[in-house]
Amino acid sequence: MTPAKAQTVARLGFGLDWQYRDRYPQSMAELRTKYDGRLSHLSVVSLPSAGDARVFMDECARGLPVVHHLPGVAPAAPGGPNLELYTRLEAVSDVLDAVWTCEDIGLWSIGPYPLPYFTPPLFEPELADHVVEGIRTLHRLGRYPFVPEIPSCTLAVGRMSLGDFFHRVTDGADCDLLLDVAHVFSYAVAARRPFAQVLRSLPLERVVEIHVAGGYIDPTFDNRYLDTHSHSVAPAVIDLLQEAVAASPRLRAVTYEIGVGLDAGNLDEDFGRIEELLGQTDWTPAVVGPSGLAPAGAA
Amino acid sequence: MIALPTLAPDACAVGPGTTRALLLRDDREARTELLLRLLYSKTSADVVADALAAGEGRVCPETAAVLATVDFHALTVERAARLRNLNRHLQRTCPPLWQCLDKKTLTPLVEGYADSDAFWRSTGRTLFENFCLYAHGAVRGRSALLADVFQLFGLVSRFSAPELIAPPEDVCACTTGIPGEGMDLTKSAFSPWDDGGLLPPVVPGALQVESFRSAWRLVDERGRLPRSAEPGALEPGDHQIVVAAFPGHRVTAAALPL
Ligand SMILES: [Fe+2]
Repeated sequence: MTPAKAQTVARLGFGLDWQYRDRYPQSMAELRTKYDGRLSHLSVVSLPSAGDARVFMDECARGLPVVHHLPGVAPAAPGGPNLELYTRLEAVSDVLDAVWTCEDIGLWSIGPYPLPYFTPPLFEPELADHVVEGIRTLHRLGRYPFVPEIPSCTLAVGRMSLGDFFHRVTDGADCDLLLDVAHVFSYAVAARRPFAQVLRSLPLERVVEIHVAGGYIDPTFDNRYLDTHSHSVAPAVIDLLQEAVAASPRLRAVTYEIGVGLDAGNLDEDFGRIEELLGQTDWTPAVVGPSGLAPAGAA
Repeated sequence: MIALPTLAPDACAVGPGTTRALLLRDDREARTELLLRLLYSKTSADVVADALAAGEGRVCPETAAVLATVDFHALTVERAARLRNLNRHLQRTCPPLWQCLDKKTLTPLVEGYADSDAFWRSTGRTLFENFCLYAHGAVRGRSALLADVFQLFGLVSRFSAPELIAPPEDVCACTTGIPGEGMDLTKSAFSPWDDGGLLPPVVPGALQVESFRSAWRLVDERGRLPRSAEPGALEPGDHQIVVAAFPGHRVTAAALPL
């Protein structure tokens, strides 16, 4: 082991989209190799089948713990979560041996069509209670913890603040929380509120995972933050990350979500920035599933 | 390429009645549906703004309190972004349609689709097929050729592999999607298209075959889709247009002279 390697502690993971496996600056498998020793875990979305999940495990995860990011199970949907999809995706979670599953809380579809643009829920008590019901159903039926993620908001509608809404959701469902600091920033921008204040309004004591990603404020409309994952991480989002890590006592994982439009230089620079920031804290990742989780296929 | 004059409002436009009815309902589902309609339909947004201004009697009080939190200026920006995105999504799903028809024709149809009740009714198997059904109905009265072009592309997409839904650049990249189960092509399903009373021919090896009647040879002898719908670009003549689906989501098309 080289001296440089000996000092390296794996502090963050990549958030990846299986659809783009060959379109990142390098392939997913090459990225995994390039950052070997510096990755605490991987988070992956849009794996359509157990077969694809096996390829992902063999070529990309290669022993790293995996968070299964779900697409469109949608406990906020008017009819509640899509249980057919959830059941189908549990076969993927089985192969991944997922430490937990997660999904942005919001509306993903118009009828049976995947909406080509996600919508955050109405921030209203009746919606929060409906989401609670949906998460409880997922916890009752599923074998993996479902962790709701703070959604990206380009427009916020409803009488509750983001903080009040997610306090009500996580208290009601008694569940953990996934804090996406870029999404917190997007809400603060849309609602014209100070971003650090929005962060502190959230139930940070429930946060087990933080997402951080790049994006930018629309140059033609400064109340709109675009969460592209394909731009550098905004300085304000880095500030939020720093504060969030310090204020989340149950934090287990920090995930850097990357997009296909990111060039290798930007990716490496932001990876290094986040790694360095985390290195200055006394926090270390612990990406393991809850003890007592029934193994796949058990009774 | 063919450019149509700007579309006049027609029977396919959104029914403001639906939005008005939603405004009077006092339930969570109605309020969520109103939010979605505001994000895609200018007609709905105008109806909501009018009803809020009129006050008493036209909006359930609870719904009015929720809608009072909408920033209508930000909503306009949001809706424009969503329409650009819908346009790009449909284009990416079926690039050949955008090679055949120009943006001047297609963009108003996409906007009309998002503003119509058809957007909320899932008649097509995919969002793209649903759009083609809307566009077919919207242009039929003015151009039988264009209507036939939309039917052809709608049928081809109906049998093609379901697409992964990947968000374009100005969308939250967290919220990607996965394909649905896709249509099981070994089982026949109700087709939303008018077959013109023709029985589709037997195509050896095909899982499903659909056809319709057209006054143009829409598909050339090598089975290629039209690259232009300009008058003169396509050979006139009564044809049965046949679209066949094969295992592996392979699709072929042919024009049989009648
Ligand atoms: Fe995220």
